[in-house]
Amino acid sequence: MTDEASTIPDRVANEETLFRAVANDLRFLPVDEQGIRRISSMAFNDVARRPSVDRASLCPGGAIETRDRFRAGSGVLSLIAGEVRELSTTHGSTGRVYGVDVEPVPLTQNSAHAEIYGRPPFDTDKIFDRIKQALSRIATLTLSPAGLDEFQ
Amino acid sequence: MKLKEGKPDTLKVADQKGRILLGSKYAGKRFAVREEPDGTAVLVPVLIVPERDAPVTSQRLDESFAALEVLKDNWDDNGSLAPVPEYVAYAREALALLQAGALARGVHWTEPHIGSNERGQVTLEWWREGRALTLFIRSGDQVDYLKAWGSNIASEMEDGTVERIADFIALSRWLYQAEAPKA
Repeated sequence: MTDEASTIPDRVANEETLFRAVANDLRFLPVDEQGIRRISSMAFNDVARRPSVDRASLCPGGAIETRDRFRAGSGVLSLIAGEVRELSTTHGSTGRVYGVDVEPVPLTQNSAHAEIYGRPPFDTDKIFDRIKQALSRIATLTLSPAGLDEFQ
Repeated sequence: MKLKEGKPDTLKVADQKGRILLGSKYAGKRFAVREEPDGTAVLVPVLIVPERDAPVTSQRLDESFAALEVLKDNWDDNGSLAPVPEYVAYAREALALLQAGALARGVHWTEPHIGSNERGQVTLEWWREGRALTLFIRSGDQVDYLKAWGSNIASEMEDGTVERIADFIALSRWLYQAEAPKA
């Protein structure tokens, strides 16, 4: 283990800010009929049902660092780890309780990388749909994608 | 020109420009003119269904879904699958039916935000203040919904299946009702 790796906290603290990159595409940030820009639940699509985020505390360059790791012109959403953990659900038919958590998953090229995941894993479309809907509601836009008007 | 099933004493005569005066009992009503083989023309009462600026047409549906049809796997850089062509086709049909159903029942209609999730299913999203309604076209015969009026996954969301137009009408009424957000 390198000195750098050993200094990275192995737990994401509740007060930590998380950055989520979204492509420079209007479909992620549509405007509703009242002229309000919304965050689509599509912004949290993830084929493994573990949406990736960056830990802001490990991004010295701030949200721009997350944006630059993604696609040119991308936007960046922000979440608070504690608010993510407050999300939970009970499966209607099984009564199973799903917890939501964030854990560090450092990558070779990105030590700030973390993932939002379920305990137990989000194993159905409907559960993950709810999680994505909730994430889109607690997220805020920190960096607008290029070409989009200022977020309202 | 004559009124269908009209008695002789209610016969109306058109003027030289083809206009007829029906009287106040027909005020505001609309009629279609049906020409019969014998040369007579019959006025048939019709119900005009209000249409917005973008009526349901094949071309408009093509335009609405065109952006989805060009997406490839990993289109969002988060590994999402490309929208499944048969789901897109079914979503077109569903959207046309839902809009027609809403208009016929006088329910508010707004174009949805059309998207796709990580599994290539088509999503239709609407928002109204604190409420959100999402339909998921999960296969050729399954449309699910998610209502949300807050971020509490257990107490501020509800999901289910849309099996009939009436199900969607109920969801639309919930979305656009004037009261504070609630289930």
